[in-house]
Amino acid sequence: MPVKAAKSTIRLLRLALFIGMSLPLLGLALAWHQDRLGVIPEEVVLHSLGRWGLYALLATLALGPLFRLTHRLEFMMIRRQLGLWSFVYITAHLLAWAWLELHWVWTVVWLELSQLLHLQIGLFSWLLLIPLVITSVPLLQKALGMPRWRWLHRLSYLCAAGGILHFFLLARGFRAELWLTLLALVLLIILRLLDAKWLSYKAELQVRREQTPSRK
Amino acid sequence: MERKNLLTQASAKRASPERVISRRDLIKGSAALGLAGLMPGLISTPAAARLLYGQAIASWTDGTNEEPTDQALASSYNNFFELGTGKSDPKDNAHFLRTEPWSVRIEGEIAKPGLYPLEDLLAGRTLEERIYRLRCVETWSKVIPWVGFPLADLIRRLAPTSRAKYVLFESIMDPDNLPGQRRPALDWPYQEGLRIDEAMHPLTLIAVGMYGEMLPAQNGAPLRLVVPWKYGFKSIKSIARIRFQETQPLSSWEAKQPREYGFYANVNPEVRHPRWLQATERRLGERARIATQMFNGYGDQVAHLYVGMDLSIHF
Repeated sequence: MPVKAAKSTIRLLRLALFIGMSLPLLGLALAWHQDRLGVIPEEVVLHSLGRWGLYALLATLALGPLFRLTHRLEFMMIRRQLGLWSFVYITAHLLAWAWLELHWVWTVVWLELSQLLHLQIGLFSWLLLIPLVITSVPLLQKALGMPRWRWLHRLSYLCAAGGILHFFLLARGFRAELWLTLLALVLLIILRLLDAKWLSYKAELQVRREQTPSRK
Repeated sequence: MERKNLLTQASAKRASPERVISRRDLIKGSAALGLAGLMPGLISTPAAARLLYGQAIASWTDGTNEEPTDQALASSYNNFFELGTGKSDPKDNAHFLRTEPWSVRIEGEIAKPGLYPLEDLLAGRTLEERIYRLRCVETWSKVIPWVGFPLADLIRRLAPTSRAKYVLFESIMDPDNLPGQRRPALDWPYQEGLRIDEAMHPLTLIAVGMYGEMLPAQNGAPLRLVVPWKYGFKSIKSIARIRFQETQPLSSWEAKQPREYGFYANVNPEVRHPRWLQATERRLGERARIATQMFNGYGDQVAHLYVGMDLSIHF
């Protein structure tokens, strides 16, 4: 049985998450202002934003399994905010590309998009996030109904896979970080599948239990 | 060209003016220092006595009139996988590269093979300062005042045979000291190659210095190749071996990713690369991107080398 979380704890957790997730953004802005980002600060900003977006997305996906393992409801209560943070970072990453890298020169934006696979995959993954963000509004979530909402939000796995592929296509040479993100996603998917199997097994047990008494 | 116009427009609306000014000032500052060095009255070393490895540096007037990249930038953002794959790794790990003593093994189809100490290679040579554009395949670029001598001068002295159709270059192999060589990022040692006519081209340089000083480790000390119309990775650093041969060498990047890196690797905004759009580049120290030129702007001098070749196949 899930343990009920106290309202004040939840509020504190959400505030802590808000502060925690704004820190990288503020840190980057400050470092930019102080000229501490090296020779091409635009590049550092672009890469950091993308990295944080992917990490936040993977962390969001990990909250479900964490809840199921620990039965602590707190994990579920911060999931929406963390998911939205991943959208914030990934959107900022996209804007940094168009603005800091390409200075909104649309012909070049278009040329890059039409020629580079990693950009197409990246943009597609970002687009996938949009319906998830829209349906994170509680009212819309209710209107959609939980089963359909759940189904829709499985897109987040595809989105994470897209982000990791985008990262892989870009990297030169061996990068441990890349393989770690891939490993994390594979683990999360396995957990998700195991969980689905476990749920269907329990449902089956339930059905059997309901059927057995009639044997008397 | 429509694209070019748009790019100039973009450079007009640069992000933050203060920043641009501060970087400009940096560049101006270093230019002023350079000027001071040329004026005998101002600084104790007169221009005529600018020396490197005991050789006078003659200036070369035929180069680009573009302003060189700030010296500190040029030596702090580098690709030199032997010293690490990050852009600042080569500078941070510079001390791992041992350059004294240094000899180059020169072998293959030549009359005078042997192990040549650096001093011998430099003896009796006039060093020239040449300002070249350097364009990396990763779409960043620099303008560097190299100090060196034409590779052709060296090749003539070595007397290649008629079977010397290609030149293979190899970088230092020293995994005990070079941290990057203990990881399989590339098949070590790093190798590059040129066709003999490319190697003999008057623009092709062996550099031993930049900005009037000895080459820093991260820029390929003590001697490197500079082929300004090709992507930067062709300009192999810290050369330890040169081999003249009849067959086309396989360069390290070509061996690793043949779909991405060809033998020629001429700067070419028209040839697609799966990772980077080659139509534009970012000059270090500048904000906006500029249009990349065919053969990095050296087409007048080198295009004849590739007449009749389909550059989308021989990329």
